[in-house]
Amino acid sequence: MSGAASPIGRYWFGVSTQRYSRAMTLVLLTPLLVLLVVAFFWPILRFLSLSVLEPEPTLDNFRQLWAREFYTTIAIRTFRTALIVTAGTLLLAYPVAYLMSTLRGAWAGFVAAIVVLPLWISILVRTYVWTVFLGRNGIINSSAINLGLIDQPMTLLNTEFAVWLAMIQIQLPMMILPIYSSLRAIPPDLGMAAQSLGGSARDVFRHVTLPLSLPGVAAGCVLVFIISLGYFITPMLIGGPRSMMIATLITQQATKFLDWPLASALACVLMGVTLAMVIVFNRVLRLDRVMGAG
Amino acid sequence: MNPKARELVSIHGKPVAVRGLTKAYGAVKAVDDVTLEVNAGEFVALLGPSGSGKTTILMTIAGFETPDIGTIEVGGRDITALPAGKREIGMVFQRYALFPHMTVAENIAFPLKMRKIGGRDAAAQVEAALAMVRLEGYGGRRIGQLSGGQQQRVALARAMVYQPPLLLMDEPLGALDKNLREEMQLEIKRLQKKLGATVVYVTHDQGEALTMANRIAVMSDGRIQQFATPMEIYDRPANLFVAGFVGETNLIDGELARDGAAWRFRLAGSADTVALEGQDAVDGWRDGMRAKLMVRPELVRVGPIRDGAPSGLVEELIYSGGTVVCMVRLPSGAMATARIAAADAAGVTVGDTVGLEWPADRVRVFAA
Repeated sequence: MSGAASPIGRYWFGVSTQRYSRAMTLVLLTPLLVLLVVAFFWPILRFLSLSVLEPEPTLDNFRQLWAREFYTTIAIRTFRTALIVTAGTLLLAYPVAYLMSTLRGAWAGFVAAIVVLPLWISILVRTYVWTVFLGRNGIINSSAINLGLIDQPMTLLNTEFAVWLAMIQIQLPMMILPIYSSLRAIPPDLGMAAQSLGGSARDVFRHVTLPLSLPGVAAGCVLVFIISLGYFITPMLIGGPRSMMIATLITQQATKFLDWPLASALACVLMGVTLAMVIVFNRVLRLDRVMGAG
Repeated sequence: MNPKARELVSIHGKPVAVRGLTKAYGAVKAVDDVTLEVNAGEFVALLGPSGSGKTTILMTIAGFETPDIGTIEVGGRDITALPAGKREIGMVFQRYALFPHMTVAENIAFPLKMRKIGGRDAAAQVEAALAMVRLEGYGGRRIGQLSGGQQQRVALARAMVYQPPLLLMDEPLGALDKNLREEMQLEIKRLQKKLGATVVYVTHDQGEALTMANRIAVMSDGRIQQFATPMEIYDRPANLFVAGFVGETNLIDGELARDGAAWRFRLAGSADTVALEGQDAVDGWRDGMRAKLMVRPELVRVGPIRDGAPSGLVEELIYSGGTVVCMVRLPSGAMATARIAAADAAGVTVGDTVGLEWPADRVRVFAA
C-alpha cells in the first residue's frame, strides 16, 4: 500500500497528470478495443441476434416468453429478489458505513478489514457457508432443536428467503463502500455548522448527512440491483428449482435444452430491463446535480 | 410596508464571560486557566500562532468542546452544559461550511427552519439578510456557482439571520486572497457596528486583528499574554512575545543602567546609552541587568553620529514605495531596522556610519 504514495505508485495507479496526444491515446487504447470487440461485443451481438434471426427472422421467441406463465413468473421473481436484496443490503449497509465514517485510527482499519476481507473469498465458498447454516441438519436447525424451540427441522434451504439472505450478505461490501466514501467526503464542519445554527443531532443527519450521502446510496443501489438481476450461482445452489431466477433459466435453455434462440430472447429482456432501470435511476436522482455545480 | 424592504435592524449583542477555562489534550494544556470578558457589542479578536489555544477557546464557547475546568456565560447565563444547537450563537467557519445541496436562500433559511419559522416570515428575513450582505437576487443560486467572497457573505448572512446575541468567527477570511480579504474585513466590521453584535474573532493575522477589533487577546501556549486595545497592544506590548508577534519590531540586546532617579539602556557591545521614559515595570529593575529594548522601525530616525548615542553601519537600503527600509549593523553585530521617509533617505548611502535616534517614551524594555 505504501507504494501508492510514492511517484512509482502514482504512476501505476494512474493518477499521473500527464496528457497524451490524440494519436497516442488511440494507440494505447487499440489493444483493449480490439479485445473488447473480438471477444465481447461481437459474441454478445451474435448471441443476442439469435433471438430474432433463428430459425428465420421472427419475433416468435419473444412471443413465447410472453405467452408462457412459467417465464413471466421467473422474470417477476428475479426483479422482486433484486429489489428485496437491494433494500435489505441498503438497510444493513448504511449503519455500518456511517459507523465507519465516524471511526478513526485502529478501529477504522479493523472495521474496514471486516467489510473488505470477504471480497477476497470466492462467491462459491461464501454461498456454501450458508448451506452449513441453513441445511436440515445445519447450525440453525440443530441449535433450535437442541434448545427445544422446535421438534422438526425447518425448511430453510431451497427457499427464496435463503437466497435473499445469502445475496444480501455477499453483496454488503458493494453497498457499504460507496456509501462510506460519500459519507467520508462530507466536510465535518458542515455538521458543526448545522448544529451551531440550532440543529439537533437528528436534524444534522436528516438535513445534511443523509442528503449528501445520497450519491453513494444511489451508486450502491444501482450496483447491487444490477448484479442481483444476473445472480446465478447463489440462487442455483441454495434457492433450488422452485426459486429459479432468470440467469439460471438462461443457462438451462442454452445448455440443457439447447434452445439458443429462446435463451437469447431471455438475455435480451434481462439486458433491456437492466439498461432501462439504470437510465430511469439516473434521471430520477439526477446524480450529477446532487452535489451542485461545485 | 413592503416586507422585503425590512432590514435586520439590530442584534442585541450580549456580554460574554469565559472564566477559568482549562482544556487539556493528553498531557498538553491547549487552554490554561483563561479568563476573558467581552462587553456587549464588542469586537474581540483572539490572536495567536497556531496551537496557541485560540481555536479551542472558540470551540468551547460554541459548544463543540467541553471544558475540563471553567465556565462560559453569555448575557449572564451559564451555558457551559448546553449543547451547541441550544446556545443561540452564530458561527462563521474558515471554509464557510455552506450546505452544497441547498440554494443560497435555503442555506440562509436553515437556522430559521430549525426554529420552526417558515413561510412569508422566513422569506422576508432571508431577503433582508441577503440585502444586508449585498447579495440581493442571489437567493436561487447554488453554492457552487458563487465566488469565495460571495460564499463568505452567504455564511455571514446565515449566521446573522436569526439575530444571535453572539457571533463567533474562526479565521473566516483565511481562504480568500489579499484584496478580497481586506475588503471583507471592512465589510464584516461595518455589519458588526451596524447590528451591534458581540463578536469573538479568531485569527493568526495580526493586521486583521489590529484593523477590526475593539480589543485583542494575544495568545500563546494556552494563555492570554495581553488583552487590550489594538493601540495599547502595538505601543505598549506586555511582554517579549507580544512585542515580537504583533507588528515589525527591533529587539535590541543590552543592559539597564541607573542614572540617578532615572534609567538608561546601554546597547550590547558598546558604551552607547539611550534614555528611558514612561516605562511600566521598573520595580524589578537592577543596575546592570540584561534586558531587551523594543523599538518599532518607524520610530527609528537615522542622522548624524552623536557622542554616547547609538550608531551603526548602513548595510542595505530597501526601497518600498513611500518609505525606505534602512538596515543598520549595530556594534554588537545585531541588525536594526529603520523605516524612514523616502525624502529623509536621500542623504544616506550603503556603507555610511549613522547615528540612530528614537523617542525615549515610545520604546519598551523587557528583562531578558
